[in-house]
Amino acid sequence: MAEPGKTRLEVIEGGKDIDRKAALRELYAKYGGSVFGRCQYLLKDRSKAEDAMQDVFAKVISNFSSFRAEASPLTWLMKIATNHCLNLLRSEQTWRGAFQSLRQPRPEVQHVPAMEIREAVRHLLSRFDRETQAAVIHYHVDEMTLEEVAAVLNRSVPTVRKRLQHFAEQSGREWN
Amino acid sequence: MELMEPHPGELKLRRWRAGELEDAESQQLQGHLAGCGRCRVRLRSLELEQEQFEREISFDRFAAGVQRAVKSAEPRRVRWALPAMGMVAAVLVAIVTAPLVIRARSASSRRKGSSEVVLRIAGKDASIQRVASKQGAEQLYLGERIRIGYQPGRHSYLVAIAVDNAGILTPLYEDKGRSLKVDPGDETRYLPDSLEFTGPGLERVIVILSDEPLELAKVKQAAEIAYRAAEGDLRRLPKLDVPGEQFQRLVLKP
Repeated sequence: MAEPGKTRLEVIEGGKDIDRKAALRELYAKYGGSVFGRCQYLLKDRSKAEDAMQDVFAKVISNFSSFRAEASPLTWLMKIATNHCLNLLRSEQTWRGAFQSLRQPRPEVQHVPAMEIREAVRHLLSRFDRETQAAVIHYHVDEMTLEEVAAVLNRSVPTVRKRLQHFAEQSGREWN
Repeated sequence: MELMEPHPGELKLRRWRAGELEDAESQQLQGHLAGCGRCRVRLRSLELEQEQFEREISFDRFAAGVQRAVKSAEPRRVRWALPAMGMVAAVLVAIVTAPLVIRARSASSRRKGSSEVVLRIAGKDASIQRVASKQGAEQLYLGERIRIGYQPGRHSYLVAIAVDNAGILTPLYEDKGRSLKVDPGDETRYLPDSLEFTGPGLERVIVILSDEPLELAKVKQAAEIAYRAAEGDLRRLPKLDVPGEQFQRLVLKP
């Protein structure tokens, strides 16, 4: 929503040039590891992860002033990277392999280290629609609050809670 | 015993490293880190992740790859270059390969001479398509493109614009500052080319079918009034005060 007092419509015919190299430096140093890490986590293929990361930052560079105006550029980046990779996985149908492994019974565990939770989340994602996938990643991997996940997905908190509960029930494990 | 602040989530740690937290929140987190070995280890793993990234991918390689991706993406945000006569042909430019022409629905579900607009969305895998919802905001995902379909009914002119969260208006389809000429009819056709909306937030697509051509300047003026009335909230944007039949769809950009 526009800031109070700032409701003037503006017709933009062209955009301002940015110092692209300086922008890229900033993106590389501040966010490169986070975005590449997210792409690797989901795609599992280093080369595909690098391509995906470049696509994500290409989007940023093309809208750099909007990006800078975000309350949390990093949150926006992680959302874009997550959605981009989930989209790639869906179109490449690479979930098939991951889904097969779900047919094996999983042992109950009392305490699961953080890295194993991330891997378990990733393996289970293929069963769910994309919005649930995104909600699960933001909640369990990014460790956002329900409110933060709701804001990122532009959904209400009850809707997000419902999706996470559905994930927990279907995956046969109670997530705290 | 002093109660420790709850452990920060991973994203919060990342945001702190990126300098995004406000002073008070940042100091609070620093205080927590001073007393929590577990979170210092978590923070260190994020630092190592960035170091590893910089070792694997040099800045020059990163920059070159992003520049290549920018060039190959080249989203076409505005449609120009219309035929001189201003007629929009019922031609489907094959950005998506699946059949796009919607066959006429049964007589029971549609009145002859009625108008409609549809936003058809496809990603890189063009065999998977969907139609944007008429209610609420349709979530778009990275790389997805939109084709605007229209069923003109008895109308002979069409103009389409888009307005985003920041109040930026983009003419999408028009002809030298006025509506395009279209053939009346009941079959759904698709405007040439596909569109990719970039940048964060919402975008409202507005298509106006009319019996006489509308001046784009008047449409822009009406859009500004509507935008002010909604106080910049695209979800509450009222219909524009222009003649003709108006169709609005809201999308949430990736």
